[in-house]
Amino acid sequence: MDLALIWHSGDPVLVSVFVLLLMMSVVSWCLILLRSSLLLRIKRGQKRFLASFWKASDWKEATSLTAHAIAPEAKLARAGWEGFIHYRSNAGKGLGLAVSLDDFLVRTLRTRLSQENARLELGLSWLATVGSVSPFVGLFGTVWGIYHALVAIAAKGDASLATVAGPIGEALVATAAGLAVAIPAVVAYNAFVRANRVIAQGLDGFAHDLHAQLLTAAAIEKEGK
Amino acid sequence: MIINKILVVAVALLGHSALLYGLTTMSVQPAKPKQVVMLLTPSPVPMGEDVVKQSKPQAKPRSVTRPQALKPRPAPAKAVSKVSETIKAPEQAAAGQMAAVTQAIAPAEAIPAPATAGSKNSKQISDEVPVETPPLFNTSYLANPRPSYPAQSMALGEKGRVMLRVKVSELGLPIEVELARSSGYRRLDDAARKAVERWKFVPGRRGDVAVVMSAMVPVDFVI
Repeated sequence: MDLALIWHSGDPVLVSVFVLLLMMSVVSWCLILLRSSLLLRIKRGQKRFLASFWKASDWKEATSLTAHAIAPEAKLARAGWEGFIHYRSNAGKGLGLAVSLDDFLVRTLRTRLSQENARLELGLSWLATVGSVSPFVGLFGTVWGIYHALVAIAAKGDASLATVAGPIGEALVATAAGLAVAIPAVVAYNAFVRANRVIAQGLDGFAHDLHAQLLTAAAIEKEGK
Repeated sequence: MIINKILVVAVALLGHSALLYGLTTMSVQPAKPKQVVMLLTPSPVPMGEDVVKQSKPQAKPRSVTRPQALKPRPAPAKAVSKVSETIKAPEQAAAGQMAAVTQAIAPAEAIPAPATAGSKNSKQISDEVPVETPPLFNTSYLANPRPSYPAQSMALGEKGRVMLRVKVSELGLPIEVELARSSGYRRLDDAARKAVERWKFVPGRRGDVAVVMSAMVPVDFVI
Protein backbone atom coordinates (compact mmCIF):
# COMPACT_ATOMS: atom_id res chain seq x y z
CA MET A 1 0.00 0.00 0.00
CA ASP A 2 2.26 2.67 -1.25
CA LEU A 3 0.48 5.97 -1.66
CA ALA A 4 3.60 7.71 -2.87
CA LEU A 5 3.69 5.22 -5.73
CA ILE A 6 0.26 6.38 -6.88
CA TRP A 7 1.53 9.95 -6.98
CA HIS A 8 4.61 8.95 -8.90
CA SER A 9 2.67 6.83 -11.36
CA GLY A 10 1.02 10.12 -12.23
CA ASP A 11 -2.18 8.67 -13.65
CA PRO A 12 -4.34 11.82 -13.58
CA VAL A 13 -7.56 9.88 -13.06
CA LEU A 14 -6.26 7.93 -10.08
CA VAL A 15 -4.66 11.02 -8.59
CA SER A 16 -7.86 13.02 -8.96
CA VAL A 17 -9.85 10.18 -7.39
CA PHE A 18 -7.59 10.26 -4.38
CA VAL A 19 -7.62 14.04 -4.17
CA LEU A 20 -11.43 14.06 -4.40
CA LEU A 21 -11.71 11.45 -1.66
CA LEU A 22 -9.28 13.37 0.51
CA MET A 23 -11.25 16.57 0.04
CA MET A 24 -14.55 14.84 0.81
CA SER A 25 -13.04 13.32 3.90
CA VAL A 26 -11.62 16.62 5.19
CA VAL A 27 -14.90 18.46 4.66
CA SER A 28 -16.90 15.64 6.26
CA TRP A 29 -14.69 15.55 9.30
CA CYS A 30 -14.84 19.33 9.67
CA LEU A 31 -18.64 19.08 9.55
CA ILE A 32 -18.68 16.16 11.98
CA LEU A 33 -16.54 18.01 14.51
CA LEU A 34 -18.42 21.31 14.15
CA ARG A 35 -21.90 19.81 14.25
CA SER A 36 -21.20 17.50 17.16
CA SER A 37 -19.76 20.33 19.24
CA LEU A 38 -22.76 22.50 18.35
CA LEU A 39 -25.22 19.74 19.25
CA LEU A 40 -23.51 19.17 22.58
CA ARG A 41 -23.66 22.87 23.38
CA ILE A 42 -27.33 23.01 22.33
CA LYS A 43 -28.16 20.08 24.58
CA ARG A 44 -26.49 21.69 27.56
CA GLY A 45 -28.01 25.10 26.76
CA GLN A 46 -31.49 23.60 26.40
CA LYS A 47 -31.46 22.14 29.90
CA ARG A 48 -30.25 25.39 31.41
CA PHE A 49 -32.62 27.59 29.43
CA LEU A 50 -35.79 25.56 29.97
CA ALA A 51 -35.17 25.27 33.71
CA SER A 52 -34.70 29.00 34.10
CA PHE A 53 -37.33 30.04 31.56
CA TRP A 54 -40.29 28.38 33.22
CA LYS A 55 -39.09 29.59 36.59
CA ALA A 56 -39.07 33.22 35.44
CA SER A 57 -41.55 35.36 37.39
CA ASP A 58 -42.71 37.47 34.42
CA TRP A 59 -42.19 37.93 30.67
CA LYS A 60 -39.66 40.66 31.13
CA GLU A 61 -37.32 38.36 33.02
CA ALA A 62 -38.04 35.54 30.64
CA THR A 63 -37.12 37.56 27.55
CA SER A 64 -33.89 38.72 29.17
CA LEU A 65 -32.93 35.05 29.46
CA THR A 66 -33.36 34.56 25.73
CA ALA A 67 -30.76 37.17 24.80
CA HIS A 68 -27.62 35.06 24.77
CA ALA A 69 -28.87 31.50 25.08
CA ILE A 70 -27.76 29.10 22.36
CA ALA A 71 -30.78 26.81 22.64
CA PRO A 72 -33.25 27.02 19.73
CA GLU A 73 -36.01 27.22 22.36
CA ALA A 74 -34.63 30.61 23.41
CA LYS A 75 -34.86 31.92 19.86
CA LEU A 76 -38.38 30.56 19.59
CA ALA A 77 -39.42 32.21 22.85
CA ARG A 78 -37.90 35.48 21.73
CA ALA A 79 -39.69 35.30 18.36
CA GLY A 80 -42.97 34.46 20.10
CA TRP A 81 -42.67 37.35 22.52
CA GLU A 82 -41.68 39.78 19.76
CA GLY A 83 -44.62 38.63 17.67
CA PHE A 84 -46.91 39.14 20.65
CA ILE A 85 -45.61 42.69 21.19
CA HIS A 86 -45.81 43.39 17.47
CA TYR A 87 -49.43 42.25 17.31
CA ARG A 88 -50.36 44.24 20.35
CA SER A 89 -48.91 47.48 19.01
CA ASN A 90 -50.11 47.07 15.40
CA ALA A 91 -53.42 45.31 15.87
CA GLY A 92 -55.67 45.69 12.82
CA LYS A 93 -53.20 47.86 10.84
CA GLY A 94 -51.82 45.46 8.23
CA LEU A 95 -53.13 42.62 6.10
CA GLY A 96 -51.23 40.01 8.08
CA LEU A 97 -52.49 41.44 11.32
CA ALA A 98 -56.17 41.26 10.45
CA VAL A 99 -56.32 37.92 12.24
CA SER A 100 -56.75 36.81 15.79
CA LEU A 101 -53.72 36.80 18.08
CA ASP A 102 -53.98 33.03 18.19
CA ASP A 103 -53.50 32.66 14.44
CA PHE A 104 -50.83 35.30 14.32
CA LEU A 105 -48.78 33.60 17.02
CA VAL A 106 -49.14 30.22 15.36
CA ARG A 107 -47.84 31.69 12.12
CA THR A 108 -44.92 33.44 13.80
CA LEU A 109 -43.88 30.36 15.79
CA ARG A 110 -44.21 28.05 12.80
CA THR A 111 -41.95 30.26 10.70
CA ARG A 112 -39.35 30.39 13.44
CA LEU A 113 -39.61 26.66 14.04
CA SER A 114 -38.89 25.84 10.41
CA GLN A 115 -35.95 28.26 10.45
CA GLU A 116 -34.46 26.58 13.51
CA ASN A 117 -34.93 23.11 12.01
CA ALA A 118 -33.25 24.24 8.82
CA ARG A 119 -30.33 25.55 10.87
CA LEU A 120 -29.99 22.19 12.60
CA GLU A 121 -29.88 20.32 9.30
CA LEU A 122 -26.99 22.32 7.93
CA GLY A 123 -24.37 19.98 6.44
CA LEU A 124 -26.46 16.85 6.75
CA SER A 125 -27.03 16.60 3.02
CA TRP A 126 -23.27 16.80 2.47
CA LEU A 127 -22.69 13.93 4.86
CA ALA A 128 -25.40 11.88 3.19
CA THR A 129 -23.92 12.54 -0.24
CA VAL A 130 -20.40 11.65 0.84
CA GLY A 131 -21.63 8.53 2.61
CA SER A 132 -23.34 7.24 -0.47
CA VAL A 133 -21.00 8.50 -3.21
CA SER A 134 -17.48 8.01 -1.90
CA PRO A 135 -17.53 4.17 -2.08
CA PHE A 136 -18.38 4.51 -5.75
CA VAL A 137 -15.63 7.05 -6.29
CA GLY A 138 -13.19 4.62 -4.70
CA LEU A 139 -14.57 1.77 -6.74
CA PHE A 140 -14.15 3.80 -9.89
CA GLY A 141 -10.51 4.37 -9.00
CA THR A 142 -10.02 0.67 -8.41
CA VAL A 143 -11.64 -0.37 -11.66
CA TRP A 144 -9.57 2.19 -13.53
CA GLY A 145 -6.39 1.03 -11.83
CA ILE A 146 -7.06 -2.65 -12.44
CA TYR A 147 -7.87 -1.98 -16.07
CA HIS A 148 -4.58 -0.20 -16.62
CA ALA A 149 -2.67 -2.79 -14.63
CA LEU A 150 -4.09 -5.56 -16.80
CA VAL A 151 -3.29 -3.66 -19.98
CA ALA A 152 0.29 -3.22 -18.77
CA ILE A 153 0.54 -6.91 -17.86
CA ALA A 154 -0.82 -7.89 -21.26
CA ALA A 155 1.78 -5.70 -22.92
CA LYS A 156 4.49 -7.31 -20.83
CA GLY A 157 3.19 -10.76 -21.66
CA ASP A 158 4.09 -12.01 -18.22
CA ALA A 159 1.19 -13.33 -16.20
CA SER A 160 2.95 -14.62 -13.12
CA LEU A 161 1.19 -14.02 -9.84
CA ALA A 162 3.72 -11.43 -8.76
CA THR A 163 3.21 -9.19 -11.78
CA VAL A 164 -0.58 -9.45 -11.57
CA ALA A 165 -0.98 -9.14 -7.83
CA GLY A 166 1.14 -6.03 -7.31
CA PRO A 167 -0.66 -3.43 -9.45
CA ILE A 168 -4.10 -4.85 -8.67
CA GLY A 169 -3.32 -4.68 -4.99
CA GLU A 170 -2.34 -1.05 -5.50
CA ALA A 171 -5.61 -0.36 -7.25
CA LEU A 172 -7.63 -1.84 -4.40
CA VAL A 173 -6.32 0.91 -2.13
CA ALA A 174 -8.79 3.25 -3.83
CA THR A 175 -11.76 1.17 -2.69
CA ALA A 176 -10.40 1.04 0.83
CA ALA A 177 -10.01 4.81 0.80
CA GLY A 178 -13.57 5.26 -0.45
CA LEU A 179 -14.91 3.10 2.36
CA ALA A 180 -12.76 4.88 4.92
CA VAL A 181 -14.33 8.16 3.83
CA ALA A 182 -17.89 6.81 3.65
CA ILE A 183 -18.17 4.97 6.96
CA PRO A 184 -17.65 7.94 9.33
CA ALA A 185 -19.91 10.08 7.15
CA VAL A 186 -22.76 7.56 7.28
CA VAL A 187 -22.39 6.98 11.03
CA ALA A 188 -22.30 10.72 11.68
CA TYR A 189 -25.28 11.33 9.40
CA ASN A 190 -27.42 8.83 11.27
CA ALA A 191 -26.35 10.18 14.65
CA PHE A 192 -27.09 13.76 13.64
CA VAL A 193 -30.44 12.91 12.12
CA ARG A 194 -31.49 11.28 15.35
CA ALA A 195 -30.20 14.15 17.48
CA ASN A 196 -32.01 16.63 15.25
CA ARG A 197 -35.23 14.67 15.52
CA VAL A 198 -35.03 14.72 19.30
CA ILE A 199 -34.35 18.46 19.30
CA ALA A 200 -37.14 19.15 16.82
CA GLN A 201 -39.64 17.19 18.91
CA GLY A 202 -38.64 19.11 22.02
CA LEU A 203 -38.93 22.34 20.09
CA ASP A 204 -42.38 21.42 18.84
CA GLY A 205 -43.60 20.77 22.37
CA PHE A 206 -42.04 24.00 23.56
CA ALA A 207 -43.76 25.94 20.76
CA HIS A 208 -47.15 24.61 21.88
CA ASP A 209 -46.45 25.54 25.50
CA LEU A 210 -45.24 28.97 24.45
CA HIS A 211 -48.31 29.54 22.35
CA ALA A 212 -50.58 28.71 25.27
CA GLN A 213 -48.49 30.87 27.60
CA LEU A 214 -48.62 33.91 25.32
CA LEU A 215 -52.37 33.60 24.84
CA THR A 216 -52.75 33.41 28.61
CA ALA A 217 -50.60 36.52 28.97
CA ALA A 218 -52.85 38.33 26.48
CA ALA A 219 -55.99 37.24 28.38
CA ILE A 220 -54.52 38.49 31.67
CA GLU A 221 -53.71 41.83 30.06
CA LYS A 222 -57.27 42.17 28.76
CA GLU A 223 -58.66 41.43 32.20
CA GLY A 224 -56.31 43.96 33.74
CA LYS A 225 -57.53 46.72 31.41
CA MET B 1 -16.70 31.38 16.63
CA ILE B 2 -14.60 31.87 13.49
CA ILE B 3 -11.50 30.87 15.45
CA ASN B 4 -13.33 27.77 16.53
CA LYS B 5 -14.06 26.89 12.90
CA ILE B 6 -10.48 27.48 11.80
CA LEU B 7 -9.30 25.29 14.65
CA VAL B 8 -11.63 22.49 13.61
CA VAL B 9 -10.47 22.68 9.98
CA ALA B 10 -6.85 22.62 11.12
CA VAL B 11 -7.51 19.60 13.32
CA ALA B 12 -9.21 17.76 10.45
CA LEU B 13 -6.38 18.52 8.04
CA LEU B 14 -3.78 17.52 10.61
CA GLY B 15 -5.58 14.27 11.32
CA HIS B 16 -5.76 13.39 7.65
CA SER B 17 -2.13 14.16 6.98
CA ALA B 18 -1.08 12.18 10.05
CA LEU B 19 -3.15 9.22 8.87
CA LEU B 20 -1.71 9.36 5.36
CA TYR B 21 1.81 9.68 6.71
CA GLY B 22 1.25 6.75 9.02
CA LEU B 23 -0.11 4.62 6.20
CA THR B 24 2.79 5.38 3.89
CA THR B 25 5.48 4.80 6.48
CA MET B 26 3.97 1.79 8.19
CA SER B 27 2.81 0.08 5.05
CA VAL B 28 4.18 -3.36 4.50
CA GLN B 29 6.10 -3.31 1.30
CA PRO B 30 6.77 -6.42 -0.65
CA ALA B 31 10.30 -7.36 0.05
CA LYS B 32 12.49 -7.40 -2.96
CA PRO B 33 15.98 -8.70 -3.25
CA LYS B 34 18.26 -5.84 -2.54
CA GLN B 35 21.77 -6.97 -2.65
CA VAL B 36 23.68 -9.89 -3.91
CA VAL B 37 26.82 -10.58 -2.04
CA MET B 38 29.35 -12.69 -3.80
CA LEU B 39 32.15 -14.41 -2.05
CA LEU B 40 34.83 -15.90 -4.19
CA THR B 41 37.04 -18.26 -2.30
CA PRO B 42 39.65 -19.97 -4.31
CA SER B 43 41.17 -23.00 -2.75
CA PRO B 44 44.77 -22.66 -1.80
CA VAL B 45 46.90 -25.20 -3.48
CA PRO B 46 50.53 -25.47 -2.52
CA MET B 47 52.48 -27.07 -5.31
CA GLY B 48 55.08 -29.33 -3.85
CA GLU B 49 58.25 -27.33 -3.26
CA ASP B 50 57.44 -24.16 -5.12
CA VAL B 51 54.37 -22.56 -3.74
CA VAL B 52 52.26 -20.81 -6.30
CA LYS B 53 51.60 -17.33 -5.22
CA GLN B 54 47.98 -16.84 -4.32
CA SER B 55 46.38 -14.22 -6.41
CA LYS B 56 43.88 -12.33 -4.37
CA PRO B 57 40.61 -12.03 -6.14
CA GLN B 58 39.72 -8.44 -6.84
CA ALA B 59 36.68 -6.67 -5.59
CA LYS B 60 35.09 -6.67 -8.99
CA PRO B 61 33.69 -9.99 -9.97
CA ARG B 62 34.34 -9.04 -13.57
CA SER B 63 37.99 -9.67 -13.01
CA VAL B 64 38.50 -13.32 -13.55
CA THR B 65 40.43 -14.93 -10.79
CA ARG B 66 43.93 -15.75 -11.74
CA PRO B 67 44.15 -19.43 -12.37
CA GLN B 68 45.87 -21.55 -9.83
CA ALA B 69 47.39 -24.89 -9.95
CA LEU B 70 45.58 -27.75 -8.39
CA LYS B 71 46.71 -30.81 -6.68
CA PRO B 72 45.45 -33.97 -8.25
CA ARG B 73 43.62 -34.47 -4.93
CA PRO B 74 41.59 -31.35 -4.55
CA ALA B 75 41.94 -29.78 -1.19
CA PRO B 76 38.78 -29.01 0.70
CA ALA B 77 37.56 -25.55 -0.09
CA LYS B 78 38.38 -23.19 2.70
CA ALA B 79 37.58 -19.55 2.64
CA VAL B 80 40.81 -17.72 2.38
CA SER B 81 39.72 -14.25 1.55
CA LYS B 82 36.30 -12.83 1.27
CA VAL B 83 35.38 -10.39 -1.38
CA SER B 84 31.95 -8.98 -1.12
CA GLU B 85 30.48 -6.60 -3.51
CA THR B 86 27.05 -5.19 -3.59
CA ILE B 87 25.06 -5.11 -6.73
CA LYS B 88 22.37 -2.54 -6.33
CA ALA B 89 19.01 -3.70 -7.45
CA PRO B 90 17.48 -1.29 -9.91
CA GLU B 91 14.57 -0.72 -7.64
CA GLN B 92 15.68 -0.31 -4.08
CA ALA B 93 13.23 -2.08 -1.90
CA ALA B 94 12.65 -0.85 1.57
CA ALA B 95 12.76 -4.21 3.19
CA GLY B 96 14.06 -7.60 2.45
CA GLN B 97 17.30 -8.46 0.89
CA MET B 98 18.71 -11.53 -0.53
CA ALA B 99 22.27 -12.43 -0.62
CA ALA B 100 23.64 -15.03 -2.87
CA VAL B 101 26.92 -16.22 -1.63
CA THR B 102 29.05 -18.22 -3.88
CA GLN B 103 32.05 -20.31 -3.38
CA ALA B 104 34.00 -21.54 -6.20
CA ILE B 105 34.52 -25.02 -4.97
CA ALA B 106 37.45 -26.98 -6.01
CA PRO B 107 35.94 -28.77 -8.94
CA ALA B 108 34.98 -32.14 -7.71
CA GLU B 109 33.90 -33.60 -10.98
CA ALA B 110 35.88 -31.90 -13.60
CA ILE B 111 35.35 -33.69 -16.81
CA PRO B 112 38.43 -33.47 -18.94
CA ALA B 113 37.80 -31.74 -22.19
CA PRO B 114 39.24 -33.16 -25.35
CA ALA B 115 42.52 -31.39 -25.14
CA THR B 116 43.50 -30.12 -28.50
CA ALA B 117 47.00 -31.11 -29.39
CA GLY B 118 49.49 -28.39 -29.02
CA SER B 119 47.22 -26.20 -26.97
CA LYS B 120 49.76 -25.25 -24.43
CA ASN B 121 48.84 -23.17 -21.53
CA SER B 122 51.07 -20.16 -21.33
CA LYS B 123 50.68 -20.15 -17.60
CA GLN B 124 51.43 -23.78 -17.33
CA ILE B 125 53.43 -24.90 -14.38
CA SER B 126 56.48 -27.01 -14.57
CA ASP B 127 54.86 -30.43 -14.10
CA GLU B 128 52.31 -29.75 -16.85
CA VAL B 129 49.18 -29.72 -14.68
CA PRO B 130 46.89 -27.28 -16.46
CA VAL B 131 45.36 -24.59 -14.34
CA GLU B 132 41.69 -24.96 -13.62
CA THR B 133 39.29 -22.09 -13.34
CA PRO B 134 35.91 -22.88 -11.83
CA PRO B 135 32.74 -21.68 -13.54
CA LEU B 136 31.63 -18.18 -12.66
CA PHE B 137 28.11 -16.89 -12.44
CA ASN B 138 28.48 -13.57 -10.71
CA THR B 139 29.86 -11.36 -13.41
CA SER B 140 27.57 -8.48 -14.21
CA TYR B 141 27.41 -9.03 -17.95
CA LEU B 142 25.73 -12.38 -17.45
CA ALA B 143 22.73 -10.51 -15.97
CA ASN B 144 21.60 -13.46 -13.92
CA PRO B 145 18.20 -12.76 -12.41
CA ARG B 146 17.98 -13.06 -8.66
CA PRO B 147 15.57 -15.67 -7.44
CA SER B 148 12.21 -14.13 -6.67
CA TYR B 149 11.23 -14.52 -3.06
CA PRO B 150 8.06 -16.65 -2.99
CA ALA B 151 5.27 -14.54 -1.55
CA GLN B 152 3.99 -17.35 0.62
CA SER B 153 7.43 -17.98 2.07
CA MET B 154 7.69 -14.33 2.90
CA ALA B 155 4.32 -14.41 4.60
CA LEU B 156 5.31 -17.46 6.61
CA GLY B 157 8.73 -16.08 7.42
CA GLU B 158 10.61 -18.88 5.74
CA LYS B 159 14.26 -18.11 5.16
CA GLY B 160 17.48 -19.92 4.77
CA ARG B 161 20.28 -20.92 2.48
CA VAL B 162 19.90 -23.27 -0.44
CA MET B 163 23.03 -24.95 -1.73
CA LEU B 164 22.86 -26.01 -5.35
CA ARG B 165 25.35 -28.04 -7.28
CA VAL B 166 25.31 -26.89 -10.87
CA LYS B 167 26.99 -28.73 -13.70
CA VAL B 168 28.03 -26.12 -16.23
CA SER B 169 28.58 -26.99 -19.87
CA GLU B 170 31.44 -25.72 -22.01
CA LEU B 171 29.06 -23.11 -23.39
CA GLY B 172 28.27 -21.82 -19.94
CA LEU B 173 24.79 -23.27 -19.66
CA PRO B 174 23.62 -25.23 -16.65
CA ILE B 175 23.31 -28.88 -17.64
CA GLU B 176 21.86 -30.02 -14.38
CA VAL B 177 21.01 -28.29 -11.14
CA GLU B 178 20.76 -30.48 -8.11
CA LEU B 179 20.03 -29.67 -4.54
CA ALA B 180 23.17 -30.08 -2.49
CA ARG B 181 21.67 -28.90 0.77
CA SER B 182 18.10 -27.89 1.37
CA SER B 183 17.14 -24.69 3.16
CA GLY B 184 14.53 -26.71 4.99
CA TYR B 185 11.72 -25.27 2.90
CA ARG B 186 10.60 -26.88 -0.30
CA ARG B 187 9.30 -23.60 -1.69
CA LEU B 188 12.61 -21.80 -1.30
CA ASP B 189 14.55 -24.75 -2.74
CA ASP B 190 12.31 -24.77 -5.80
CA ALA B 191 12.52 -21.01 -6.27
CA ALA B 192 16.30 -21.09 -6.11
CA ARG B 193 16.52 -24.02 -8.49
CA LYS B 194 14.14 -22.42 -10.95
CA ALA B 195 16.15 -19.23 -10.97
CA VAL B 196 19.52 -20.90 -11.30
CA GLU B 197 18.32 -23.10 -14.15
CA ARG B 198 17.89 -19.93 -16.19
CA TRP B 199 21.30 -18.58 -15.36
CA LYS B 200 24.27 -18.32 -17.66
CA PHE B 201 27.75 -19.06 -16.49
CA VAL B 202 31.26 -18.40 -17.51
CA PRO B 203 32.32 -21.95 -18.22
CA GLY B 204 35.01 -23.46 -16.12
CA ARG B 205 38.33 -23.78 -17.88
CA ARG B 206 41.25 -26.05 -17.69
CA GLY B 207 44.04 -23.91 -18.96
CA ASP B 208 42.53 -22.11 -21.93
CA VAL B 209 40.00 -24.75 -22.80
CA ALA B 210 36.43 -24.59 -21.59
CA VAL B 211 35.37 -27.83 -19.92
CA VAL B 212 32.30 -29.16 -18.21
CA MET B 213 32.65 -28.43 -14.53
CA SER B 214 30.52 -28.20 -11.45
CA ALA B 215 30.11 -25.25 -9.19
CA MET B 216 28.42 -24.80 -5.87
CA VAL B 217 25.88 -21.98 -5.86
CA PRO B 218 24.53 -20.93 -2.49
CA VAL B 219 21.37 -18.85 -2.57
CA ASP B 220 20.40 -17.05 0.60
CA PHE B 221 16.83 -16.07 1.22
CA VAL B 222 16.85 -13.34 3.86
CA ILE B 223 13.73 -11.43 4.80
